[in-house]
Amino acid sequence: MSIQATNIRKQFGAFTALDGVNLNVPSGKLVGLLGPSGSGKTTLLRIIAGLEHADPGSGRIQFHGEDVTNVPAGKRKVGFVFQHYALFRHMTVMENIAFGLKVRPRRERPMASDITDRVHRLLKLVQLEGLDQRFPNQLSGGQRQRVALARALAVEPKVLLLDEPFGALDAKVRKDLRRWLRRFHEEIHLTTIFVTHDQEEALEISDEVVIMNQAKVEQVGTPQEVYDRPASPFVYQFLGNVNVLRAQVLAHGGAHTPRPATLEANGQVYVRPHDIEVVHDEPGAAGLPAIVRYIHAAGSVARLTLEQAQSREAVEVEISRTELAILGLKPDHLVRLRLRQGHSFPEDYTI
Amino acid sequence: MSRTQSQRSVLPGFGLSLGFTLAYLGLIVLVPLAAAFLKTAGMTWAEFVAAVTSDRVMASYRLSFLASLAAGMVNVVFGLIVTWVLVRYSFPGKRIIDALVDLPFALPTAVAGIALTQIYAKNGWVGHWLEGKLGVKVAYTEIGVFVALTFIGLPFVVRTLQPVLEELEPELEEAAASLGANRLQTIFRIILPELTPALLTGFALAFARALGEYGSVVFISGNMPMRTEIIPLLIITKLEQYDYRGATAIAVVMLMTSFTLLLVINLLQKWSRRYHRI
Amino acid sequence: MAAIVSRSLATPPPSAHAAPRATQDPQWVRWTLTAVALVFLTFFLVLPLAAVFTEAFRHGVKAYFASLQDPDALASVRLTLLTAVIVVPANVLFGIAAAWCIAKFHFRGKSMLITLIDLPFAVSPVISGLIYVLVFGLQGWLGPWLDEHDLKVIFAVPGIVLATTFVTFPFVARELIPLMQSQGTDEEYAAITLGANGWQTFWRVTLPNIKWGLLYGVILCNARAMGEFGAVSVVSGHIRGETNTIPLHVEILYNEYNSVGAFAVASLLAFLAIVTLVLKSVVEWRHAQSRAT
Repeated sequence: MSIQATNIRKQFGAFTALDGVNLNVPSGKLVGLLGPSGSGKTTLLRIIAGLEHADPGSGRIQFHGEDVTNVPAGKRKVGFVFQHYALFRHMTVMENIAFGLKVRPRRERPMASDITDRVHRLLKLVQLEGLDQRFPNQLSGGQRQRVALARALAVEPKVLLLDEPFGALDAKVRKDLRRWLRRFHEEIHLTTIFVTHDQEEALEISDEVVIMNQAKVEQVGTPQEVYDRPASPFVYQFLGNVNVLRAQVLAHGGAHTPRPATLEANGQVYVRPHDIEVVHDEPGAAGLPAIVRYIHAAGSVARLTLEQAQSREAVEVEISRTELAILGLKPDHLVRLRLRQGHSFPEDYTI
Repeated sequence: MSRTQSQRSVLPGFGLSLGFTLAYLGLIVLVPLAAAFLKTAGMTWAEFVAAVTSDRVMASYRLSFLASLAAGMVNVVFGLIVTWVLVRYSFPGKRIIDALVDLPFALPTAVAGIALTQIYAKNGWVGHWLEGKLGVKVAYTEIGVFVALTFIGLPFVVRTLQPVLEELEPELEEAAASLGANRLQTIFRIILPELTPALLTGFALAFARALGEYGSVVFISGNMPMRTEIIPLLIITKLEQYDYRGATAIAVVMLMTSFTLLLVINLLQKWSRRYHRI
Repeated sequence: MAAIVSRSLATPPPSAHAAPRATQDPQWVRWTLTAVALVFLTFFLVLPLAAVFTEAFRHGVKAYFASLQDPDALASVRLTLLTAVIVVPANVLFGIAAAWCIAKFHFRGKSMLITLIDLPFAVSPVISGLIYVLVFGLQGWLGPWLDEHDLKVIFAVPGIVLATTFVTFPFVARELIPLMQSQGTDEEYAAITLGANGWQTFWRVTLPNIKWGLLYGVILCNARAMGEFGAVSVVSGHIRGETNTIPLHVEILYNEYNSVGAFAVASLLAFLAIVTLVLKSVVEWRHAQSRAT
């Protein structure tokens, strides 16, 4: 089922959480809602779930074209997984998962044996078989997370919403679980939105990424689109390391830039560290002159910090360790930098 | 109570502070309490049983127990409502009301006793209305005892419940709502089970206090033997008749009851932490 | 801009019954529960407090002050103050010592010690008085010896002080112990490594950290010390002008059907209770503030 949010505004006192946000999630997709804290992403998710209401007079929420703006949370057929899971701690795993079925009015409630069956099927789906009689405080973080997911799925929701689903887990579990979530999504194909502030997470598992900043949507696109063609300096910086070089300096340095047409007189060029090529400073060599300051080679790639010879501004470069060995770079060497790819934005963009 | 070797501390004053604590605790609390038990050790078992099970004593147990139970239960119900209103709603004067809940802690029991008697007596503000319109006599009856015990028990329930309700995550209710539960289902299946340990603890605290309460009750109860005589009053009566052994025997029964309740309360508090922090 | 304005005006007004937030009770529930709570509190808390002052001033301001200036009333005020002046500092000293050894050191039997400190709260006030009669009374352990040396504890001031100490025993300690436990020992260790001695560490580091908790305990301890009735009633002997504290004096006047006198003297204690509640709220507020920063 597709989800549409149109012109959503939300104000908390003087703080604007959402400023006329539009969102369109196609049916069956896994969408990552990405942004720094305070960008409004969780509020948007809660409004879609019906846990919060957009300001009166602002836009509406539609599920598959049907307006649900005034439908209460419990009737929206939404599965919501809370950041800290909100498991009912006086209930066993079984009781937690069965809760949504047991609170239904008698004529809609499945038979007790059907409920048990369904809980067991869900436990199998989230790989927690045999833990049905445990209490939440007897589970690990990752297990609680999956119980929360199973509980949300038990009511057969039409959409699944996850608020920072991996936020409370440690790094290792986090990585495993997000891959698991991706595979899981392939299996059930439920329209899913998850909120995260971790760009790596969003880029890794989403079909589509929605990047939010300061109560607005900055860009929507596939992970590759938003990474390769960021729509704004904010997106550029948010999705990875970036060097901001002054176009003028580049021109004077004779550096080759692939898209000179977009450069303006005082414009700035955004370049990822791995899009810069390092060459020896030989007579007649083109490129921006720079001095090697630090070499950090403890990792899969070598990270260099250089200082531009003229402006004395720092530049970060990533090259392979093989390349580093071939170049034989040492601190204080003078080199030239060439850009393989860079972006510029019109002047009125500021970061 | 020796300090273990591995935890030698560079902080000074351990011996001094622990020594003073133990000496003061011993002199003020433990030795005098032991006196009560030793006094009854001088009685034969038959004497002891006779002293603590005479008709008049049994009648006072019954009154103290039932009135404390009723007061505790009323406080659980109204204490829950008061706490809910104080934590969840806002209204003008809320801070004053919140502070006022502690009045039974702060107001000396004798003052509470004469004030309640004044209000609930035949010509008092509430009493004349209850007696005149409904024919219910409060002052100088068992109901009076119940009223006084309700007064002194209220803060125990509210103050035990308040922090628990304040810390109850709203996400739990939101989760229930998004899973389709209506408000009543959320209250009975999620909120009340979460509050049950605190409610029981508050009840036990109020009940324990009510059993031993004296000052606020003696004025309103009328102190009729076999009818409105609470246990603490009976102890005083026996003392005034120089029946030290009889008084002490009843006191020992009460102390045992109190210590059992203390144990129950400690277990309840442990239980309430059972599911804590997930 | 104009287009936006006109469009927003054109949108229909929000429906009056926009779905409430999932955790909010409907309006009528809020009203009903608030009303129930307020009525209950009025009958059980507000009316008694109001009754004290109404009865005290029933025969006017003059009769009120005359009751307070009665020599026996003044004597009871003096005795109550004397008791509090002895009991409160003693229990403060104990509370700090107990909290210091319990919160800052590890030793076996600690939880047992904490339970024992709470014990007086579980004891009926009447029994708190009785046990001192059993120790110091004529029938008691030390009674004959005290009598020989012409010392009087029971039916005299020392008995009153002892019984009051017993019933107020845990107040300061139980405020300070959890507070100091939560604060840990890091700051004290830091002070010691910087060269402070034990007293300097206590006065300059520990005490400033616990001052609100300490004040809170003192307020509660004082209120109970001045208002204790049951325990004091057993050991006092009720000698007018000599061994009557304010609550005991209230009882005597009330039993003599001197209602105005009883309530006038009681109003002093009711006033003390109000001051206690105000101070308590202020301290709670300040404590929350100091922790928030």
